[in-house]
Formats: sequence, C-alpha cells, structure tokens
Amino acid sequence: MISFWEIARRAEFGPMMKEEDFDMRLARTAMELAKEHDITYDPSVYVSSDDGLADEVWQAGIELLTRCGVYNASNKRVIEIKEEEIKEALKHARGEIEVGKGKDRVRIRARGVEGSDPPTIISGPFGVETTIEAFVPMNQAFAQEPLIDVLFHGGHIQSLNGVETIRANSAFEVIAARLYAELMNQALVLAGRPFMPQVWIPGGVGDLNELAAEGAQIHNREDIFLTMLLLPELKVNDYKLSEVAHFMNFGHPIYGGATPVIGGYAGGPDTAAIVAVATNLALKLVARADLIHIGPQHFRYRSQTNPASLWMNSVMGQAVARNSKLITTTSVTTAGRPGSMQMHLEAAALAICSVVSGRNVTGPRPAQPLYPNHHNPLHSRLFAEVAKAATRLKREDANEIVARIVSTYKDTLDFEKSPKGKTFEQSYDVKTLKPTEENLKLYEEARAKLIDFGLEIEG
Amino acid sequence: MSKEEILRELREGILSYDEGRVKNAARRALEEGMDPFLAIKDGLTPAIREVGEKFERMEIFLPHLMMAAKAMEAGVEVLEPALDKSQGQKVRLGKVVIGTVQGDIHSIGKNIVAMMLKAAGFEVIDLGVDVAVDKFVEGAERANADIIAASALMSFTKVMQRDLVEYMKAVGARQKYKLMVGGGPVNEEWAREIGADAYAEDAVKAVRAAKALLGIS
Repeated sequence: MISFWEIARRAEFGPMMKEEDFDMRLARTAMELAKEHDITYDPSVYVSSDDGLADEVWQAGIELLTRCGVYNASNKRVIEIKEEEIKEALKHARGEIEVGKGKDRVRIRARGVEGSDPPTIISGPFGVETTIEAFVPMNQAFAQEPLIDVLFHGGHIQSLNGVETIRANSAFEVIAARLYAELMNQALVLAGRPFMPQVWIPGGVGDLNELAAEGAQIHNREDIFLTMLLLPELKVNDYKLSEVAHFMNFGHPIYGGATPVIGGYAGGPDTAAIVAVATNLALKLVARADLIHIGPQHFRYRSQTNPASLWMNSVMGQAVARNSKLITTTSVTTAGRPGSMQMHLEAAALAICSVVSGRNVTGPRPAQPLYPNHHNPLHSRLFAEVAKAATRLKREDANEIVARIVSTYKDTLDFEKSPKGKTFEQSYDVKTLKPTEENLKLYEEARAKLIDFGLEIEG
Repeated sequence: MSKEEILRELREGILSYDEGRVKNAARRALEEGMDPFLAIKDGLTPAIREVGEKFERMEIFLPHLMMAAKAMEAGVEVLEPALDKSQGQKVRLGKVVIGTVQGDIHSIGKNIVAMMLKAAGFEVIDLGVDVAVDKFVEGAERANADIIAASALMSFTKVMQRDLVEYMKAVGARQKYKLMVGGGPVNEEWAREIGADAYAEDAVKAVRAAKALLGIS
C-alpha cells in the first residue's frame, strides 16, 4: 500500500485549490458518476438487494476518489490518489484484525453480504457528556454487557470541581483527558474486563489530549483503537494527519471514521452512496484505518436511521463488502433518545440493514442527547442481539422487517418530536448497576415487538 | 426580447443553476431599459425562493443550492449598480455574519444555513470555522451586520456561544447585533440560558428566525 510518508508528502506539496472549488468539484463529479453508472435512489427500498447497483456504486466510488482526491483544509492542497494505488491497497487488505488481550481478545472481520459470521459489536457511552460521578459506573455497566465486544467510549467528562462545562482546547480539557484515561482503566477492572478492546476519542478534541492521556499509559497498547476522523466530504487537516502519524508511532490500531452527509456536498442518497464508498477507501489509504467506520448522516434529520440513510448505508455497505476485504462498521445514531421504545427500534432497523449489507456495527447513541449521562446499556444489549439475529436474514426479508420497524418511527424523527428519554441514573441503580424494572420492561417489550416483526432473536 | 421573456430567462437561469445564462439575461434587462429592481424582484427573487422550497422538500441538496445562489449573485452583480439607493436597500433583507465557533471545525450545517439565508435575500458574510469570539464581533463591525449567527456542533464547543454573548456584552456590542445560535447539541433552552436572541433547529427555521429578528414578514 502507498506509504503514509507519501500521503503526508502529497498533503504537503499537492496542487492547491480553493475549498469551495473542491466541494463543488466533488458534488459535480458525484452527480456525473451517478448518471454514467445509472445510480438512482429508490425511496421504496430500505435494504437494497441489487448486486449490480452495489457494483456500480463501488466503481463510481473509486472513480470519484481518483478524480477528486482528498483535500487538506489546513494548507488548501489536494492529496491525489491513483486508481492503481487503490487497487494495490485493496489487494493487500488483510480482511481481519485481532485486538484486546486474553479472554477479551476479539477478531474483527471483513464481513460478506448476507454473511453468517457474527458481526463485531462496538458499543458504549459515546458522544455524550458524562459527569464525574457517573463516569465509572456507566462505563462499567456497558463493559459488563457480555455481547459488547469492543467498548466505544468517546464520551467526555462534562465538569470538574465546579467548572460546569469543560471547553475544548482549555487546560481543563487536558486534565480531564488524563483523568478520563485513569477512570476508564478503573471501570474496566471493575467490570472484570481489564483488557477489553476499546475505541478511544480521549476527552474531546483538543490537540493535547492524546499526549495528556499518555500519562495514564494508554499507549503501546494493542487493545486500544485510537480514532482519526475524516471531515465531510473527503477532507483532512494537518492536525488529523498528525494524529495518524502519532498513532502509528505508538503502534495503535486505527479506527478511521467519517460521516458522509446526505443533502450536504455529497448530494442526495444516490450520490452520497458514491461519496461514502470513496470515503471508505480514503479512510484506508489516508487515515490508515484498520477498522473503517461510516455514519450515514442526513442533513435534515441529523440522525442515521431515516429511510434515505438506510438505503445509502445498504448500497454503500454492499458495494464495499462485495468488492473488498476492508474491515468496516456502520455507526448508528438515533433521533429517539435512551430510555425510549423509539431508540430501541431505530437502532434495530439500522443494525439489521448494516449486518445483511456486510458490515459490523457501532452504537447506538442518541444524535441529540439532552442531558449529561444520557445513555442506557440495555439499548446496546438489544442492539447486539438484533445484529446477531440479522446474520440469519436474506436482504429481501431484512427489507421487509426494516420497513415494518421504520413505519413505527418515521413520523417522529425530528428532534422536537422524538422522545426525550432518560438519563443513566434514571434507568439504572447506580450502586448495583442493575437496570430499573421499568427499563427492563421497555427492553423486553421492544424485543417482543421485533420478534413480532419477524426477527428471530435468540434466547 | 420582451419583459416577460427576460423575466423567464432570469428565472430559468436560476432554476437550471446557470450563472452565464442569468448574467446574460440581467445584461439584456439593462440594455432593454428594464427597471433593475423589477428584474430582481420579479425575476431572480421568486426563482431563488422556488429553489429554497425545493431544498426544503428535499428535492434538491446543498450543491444545487450553492449553484443557484452563485447564479443569483451573478445576476444581482450586474443589476445592482443600476439600482437607485432606495431600491438597493430593498433588495437585501439584511446582513448576517456567520461562523462555527472556536474549537469546532464542522462546516456543512453552517454552510447550509448560509446558503439558505443567501437564497432568501440576506447578504451573508461567512467567517468560516474555528472562529474566535472577537472575530465574530470584528466581522460584524466590518460588515455593518444586523445579525451574528454562531454554530456549534459539539457539546464541548457550544460553550463558546455563551462566551460570545459574554464577549459581546464586555465590548459593548451586545445591543448592536442580534445573535442567533444553532447546531447539533444546541436547543431552545440553551439559547435562552445564554441570552441569545434566537435559536434555529435547521436552515429553513434559521431563515424564518432571521426574518423575525429584523421584523420582516
């Protein structure tokens, strides 16, 4: 595969371009490619079964990346990528990676379309502010869920010693990042899974957080994925490239993520599917991702379980799974919030769609949390059960089940209408870490509903 | 070319995102002695409104909105110098300085709001991403803006919206400009808590909120 040194060199010396011109070139190229390859969104389909469409989207994605490249927003230069470089990288893709130690070691695979192998479940209290009091119990409660293979804990500490909100790039953030690492170690020891694989976005976005967390000896640990996020669409900056160099220096597996935005520069669901394929490839070549995470984002809903995101995710997933051994996962963010039936059902819809389309799954989390500690490990439990059950489905059956599920929530996807839900403390006994009766009842009702919809959940 | 034909050409130029076509039609309007204010009011404005409505219905997306806004700007550029002063004031609804707060490099949501405001007839000065509080105020002063719009996409950067309010108060700028906030982790309650003038959940609502702030129906 093309070396990272060469990527960094192109980021430093590639041709210059105005950012707006790059955005428009990408948008126009995606539109042209959709026309050339006859790629059209079908709003009546949630999970596509069209292999031909998937292959056209794959080819169009390669062409998009080679025609547009990846933009370095820091110095306005384009990292150009050649088709033979993509093909060479794909030829050497390993198709599996092992992370973690001892009994918690996990093998994460490139999955196939309608593959019967179990998907890796990546889940945890990601993307929500966490109070210092709830930090250890909440992470412990997630880590204790046996179906979660990899703990995803990109949450951050909300407040410290009377500082109500820790601001990005402040000194408090660096202190919180170090503390975060210490407390995470504690939570995993308490859960009995000290070397459970983790995905880390330590403490926020500040430039010094990675270094700050070194104090808690998170580095040189092959059980910890560190995260590098590409910016939408097909963009990096100097800081993100420096992160990659830093992660590589420490030998960490890299979790490369991006959220192509339907309705943004990526255009409609059809052109966004092309952009999403190019983004999978860019995450491999530029971000050096060992595990590729895509969030099928939508500009209007700002969550990922709406009909357009489902279709885009299924087509993109199948395009990548049918044509490569890239190890991938789909992010699941919901409009319904933790502690609601809607969140259970939305998460199930995207989990089914992703698994039959050849991806592992990450989530679920609320797209717009309303409170600190707005998480609930029981959502992860059902999400994992659903993802495993989906390995027994054909795409046509998955589409029918997903259609039934979507009909329950499609009218309440706006944040104003979606359920507000409950915090971790309202859903769990924080001392025993047992779910409340009400929370357990909701989980059981959601489970029963999904079984009614035709999903064969084990147990 | 009749007046109706010129108006049709202006409209179709916008709807087909064709900058050159709009520019030519605008030049033609002036050559034929058409009132430039009417060319904007009856030709460009309804067309760009139509584009905005299509975007609202999710029939078109950001790239189309950008191309239409560029075509609109190209037409206004030709027609504007021919407007008299009072007409010139009527063409623009108001000036908005917009940016994503410091520490935050998310741009798409902010860009969509900027484009929708432009399409609605506002003059928009986009300060980009990672914008410090003083840069918002400097930008507003330089542009003689009516509204400052600040976007934040992360819970730990939305605090910069609060800092912006405090900074505006500290430098005596709070009463000079209306302040709108938005972004993923932002809601009505937060906007009220920090003392912003308006919150908008999405780009369509941002246009409504901006108009309401300036008393435009």
